[in-house]
Amino acid sequence: MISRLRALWNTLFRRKQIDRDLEDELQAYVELVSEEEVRAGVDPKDAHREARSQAGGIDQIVQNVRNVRTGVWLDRLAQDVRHGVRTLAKSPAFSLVAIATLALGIGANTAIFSLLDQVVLRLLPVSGPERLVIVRETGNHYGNSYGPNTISWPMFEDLRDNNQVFSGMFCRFPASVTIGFSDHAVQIPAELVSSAYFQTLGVKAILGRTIGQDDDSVPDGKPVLVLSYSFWRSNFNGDRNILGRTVSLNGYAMTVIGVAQSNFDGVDLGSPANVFVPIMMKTEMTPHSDGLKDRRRRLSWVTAYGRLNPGISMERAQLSLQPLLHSILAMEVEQPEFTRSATASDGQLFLRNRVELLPGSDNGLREYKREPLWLLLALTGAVLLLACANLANLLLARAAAREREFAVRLAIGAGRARIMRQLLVESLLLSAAGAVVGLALAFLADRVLMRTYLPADTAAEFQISPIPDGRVLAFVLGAMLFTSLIFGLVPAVRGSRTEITLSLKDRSGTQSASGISLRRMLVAVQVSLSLLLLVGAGLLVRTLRNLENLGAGFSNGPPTNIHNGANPQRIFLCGNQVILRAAKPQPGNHARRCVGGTLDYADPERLCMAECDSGQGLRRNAN
Amino acid sequence: MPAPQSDLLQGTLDLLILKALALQELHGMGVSRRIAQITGGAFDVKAGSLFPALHRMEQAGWLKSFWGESETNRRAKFYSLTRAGKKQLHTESERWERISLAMATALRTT
Repeated sequence: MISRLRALWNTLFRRKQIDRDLEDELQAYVELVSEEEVRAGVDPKDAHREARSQAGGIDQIVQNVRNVRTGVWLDRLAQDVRHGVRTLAKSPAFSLVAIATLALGIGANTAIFSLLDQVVLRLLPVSGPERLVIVRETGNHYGNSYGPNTISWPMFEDLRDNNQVFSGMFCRFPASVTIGFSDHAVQIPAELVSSAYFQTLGVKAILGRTIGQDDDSVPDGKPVLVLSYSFWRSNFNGDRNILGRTVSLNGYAMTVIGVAQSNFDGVDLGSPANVFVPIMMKTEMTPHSDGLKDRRRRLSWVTAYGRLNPGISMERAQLSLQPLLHSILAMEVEQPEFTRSATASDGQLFLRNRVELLPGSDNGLREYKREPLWLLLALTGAVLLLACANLANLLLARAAAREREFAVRLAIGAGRARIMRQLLVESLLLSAAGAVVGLALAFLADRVLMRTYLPADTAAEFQISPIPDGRVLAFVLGAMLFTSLIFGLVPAVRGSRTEITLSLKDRSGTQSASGISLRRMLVAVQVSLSLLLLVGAGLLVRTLRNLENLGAGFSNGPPTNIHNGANPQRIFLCGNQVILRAAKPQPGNHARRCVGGTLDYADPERLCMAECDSGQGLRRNAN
Repeated sequence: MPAPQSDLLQGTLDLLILKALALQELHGMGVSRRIAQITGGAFDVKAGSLFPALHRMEQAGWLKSFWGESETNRRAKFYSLTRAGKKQLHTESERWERISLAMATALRTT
């Protein structure tokens, strides 16, 4: 093994020396043989010639010895690369055009893939994320709901205690809470979680412990919290003495019992949580509503998650849960909460509600960005194919012009495989350079795309970054190999088939008929792909224009001024949506938009604000 | 690039070189002459096969080489067996004996 490695090292880096050594050795051999001849009585002049002829061509021996050296292919590859770089450098215009074409193609694909990967494909950083599902109820919903994937607390309890398909179930509710520091208070996203949360997810604490059964058994019982790793690092400087300290959340003293493992920020990839609080503390964390204690069965607010038992598919679990849901609904339909406002036919419809399981890593952004992103990837894929066809055509033309070069190489003994490899190496060099430039382009493109294409705050909340990670790099590598094969293979095969005798004669300007027909075909492919893209782009632009003319979907009512401490803000009421703007541009806060919050019709005096990106919560009566 | 020799022949050449070097270190021509000697002139290994084999076996770690002086005071490259080379000689000899015995038995069968 070691001798092999040493041999490889010698082959690659001490080539000159071992070649000289070999020549000396063969020279000595010839001398020795001729001496022997002389001793046998041959004339010294003839002896030397005789010895050489016996050796049978020194050059050929040298070549044969080289061929058996360890790592000879690597050495050859290095030769090919060096030769390829020289060849490409000799025609800079061609190389630059090729690299730019590829950079655009690979860059566009990488940019879209990077977004797709982070928005759609990424799984939760928990153990076995593919076994995790969201349990939701579809159909006619009666009562109040906090979101599309929510169910009521009593229903969650029933599902948790009676199902046969999950090894564990938990639920969560996202809330915005005010954390008090010594001199100021800020609004931070929190996740209220039921007791099995960390255990079911398989998320550990890197410091202290996570929330367990005891912390979440009695309402208002245990004022404890677990910090997310990033929040602990950024706001508590990673202080290891944080355990046992109390922190003020919404004015309640809560004890820090642990810090969750790094890179885990809650189960909603779209909105990372900074702190985790037992859901039994709901009353304290969300003063404006109390779904936990009033136990209304038609108040949906928790998102329920389950971990599938081994060997149970999502479909089977869904089928198995359906009778359970049905029995729960049959009970609910009899309750006054339902019968008060619903008719008998409403009840019949209600009983047809179904349980539906979603992948645990799903979230709102994912649902409505999935298809557009795949579509964009398909479009950029077509662009890349187009670039490949274009380059293949260029390379074919180039190969025709280089026929003499190939013929000369073939004539002095290069194998056809070697010529083909040479051409493929050149293609690979081009696409490698294209990939590097494309990666840089993708980084820039992603920054622009994130600004224009994703909802305003997603990038920060969703932790989407334009910086490529390992998966994106792997994608680029794949794209690079793929493209170089696509555009390089045909010209390489063609180049290696050069006819020596014909090419060495002067017949510049002539081309084989098959070469021309192949290039015509490539042009046809390019034209049709371009047409496809043009039509697609045209439709896209039309849709965009239509969307622009559609209006925002609400009339801008007169702004209402409200006061929120030192931060005067304006409210726009649009339907029951509330939009806040800082009335006066604050330093570093130029009319930033705050979205979210609903006007509670039951209690119009009260304004429930969910989030406000000026960092100020709003819990004050509005008119 | 054509394969220099079939596997069987290559194995034979390797074994002969190992055997030739078993007693003493030799330079390239010495190996060739020694093989001719021990095979009763049946094998005349030409430089074109000898040197690629020597270098290949050196890279495999069976031989080591050094520059020395020939019996006629010429500078020449000498080869000798390494520990791995001795082991290789042992296993190859056994294998060869098994094969030749089997071949002989097979050919004798009527």
